[in-house]
Amino acid sequence: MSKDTVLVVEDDQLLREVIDDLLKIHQIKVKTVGDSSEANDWLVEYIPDLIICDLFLPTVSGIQWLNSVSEDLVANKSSIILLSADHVRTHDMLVGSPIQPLVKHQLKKPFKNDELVRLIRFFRPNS
Amino acid sequence: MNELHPILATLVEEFLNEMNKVRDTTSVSLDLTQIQLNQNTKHLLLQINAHLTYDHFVSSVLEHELRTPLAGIVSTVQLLQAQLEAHETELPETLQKWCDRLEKLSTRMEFLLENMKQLHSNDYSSQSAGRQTRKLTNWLINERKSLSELIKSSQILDLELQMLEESFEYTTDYHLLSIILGTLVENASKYSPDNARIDIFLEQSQEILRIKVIDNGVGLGVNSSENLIKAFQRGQEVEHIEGSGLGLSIAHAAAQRIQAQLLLYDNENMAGTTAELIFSNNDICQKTLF
Repeated sequence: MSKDTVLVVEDDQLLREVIDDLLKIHQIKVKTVGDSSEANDWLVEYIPDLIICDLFLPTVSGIQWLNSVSEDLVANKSSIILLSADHVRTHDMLVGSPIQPLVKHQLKKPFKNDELVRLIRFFRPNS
Repeated sequence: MNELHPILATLVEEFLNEMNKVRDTTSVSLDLTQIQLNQNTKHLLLQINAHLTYDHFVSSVLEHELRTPLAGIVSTVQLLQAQLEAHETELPETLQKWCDRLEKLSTRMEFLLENMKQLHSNDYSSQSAGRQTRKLTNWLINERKSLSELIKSSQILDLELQMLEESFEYTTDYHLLSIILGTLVENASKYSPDNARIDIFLEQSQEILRIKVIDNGVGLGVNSSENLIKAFQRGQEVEHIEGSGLGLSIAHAAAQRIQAQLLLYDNENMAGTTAELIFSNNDICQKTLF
């Protein structure tokens, strides 16, 4: 694992597996985790350049978790793609939060595989 | 008291204020007709509240819950299409894995839609709709078998009964009760480690029946006990609720339907969460819960 590995935080196991398969087919290095606790364990070792995070996590919202680790993410200039169903509400939750400048895109479920891959390549060409 | 939809809560507050003003000015005690009227009003409010909560539940499911399995299905189909278009032949086991995944995701969507249909189809304008009278302990002992199928194979589901009378008969909608318990147990399992134990307690006191589903999983985290339900009802940051599992939104809507109270809180002396379902022990629950 390295910092150019994309970190995917998605609590739904099946969708996590789908994204894992998709990115590996496209030779994108990926680490998938199911909750913020697992993600925190991983962040101890690497601060990834790109995080794809679902808004629905087991104990905190995706935005709450990202804000809790924002110091490291901001210092690393990480990019974030949020998987979200409601752009307006997500925007309201994001306004003024520490991670707002890092959120490059909100991707609505269901998404096009090509779009996800294109976004990853665009925000992290080295992935 | 059941949590009210905010619009209803405002109406109730205004109604009570007006009633108190009238009472203060006239100094006349309420007669039986007025008491009956108040009870009917409460019943009507409960029905309206259940419908409003259900509407919110449906919009939540449509907007959030269905999107995740749908995303999995759409992406997996795209993976298969990409393989076909590229004339590449994935290994048979990979294709089988993708097909199995499609089946699981489709089953989950069907489960969601069936629950929505069930919650919607009951006629709750009638108090007897969907209700049956059964020996509660027998029902729960039988139900445990199907509940056990919802947890991880390495986990254990224990059932403990603390009843004043073992042959106690209770009238409720057992199909909805089954949905509630199923989703609570499934949720408990999902957020508990492998080999964990999940306990179901049935407790009967003179006035109250409680069914508790206790796990030693990740707990509620930063969400306070009441805020989970409140946020769900009021539509505030429902993302937190959805994150705690599909079970909560379904269980909450179903609990409203059978006029039970659903509480969630972190365990005091151990990790994990307790989901507590409270029913009145006699007649219909409004007396104690509203």
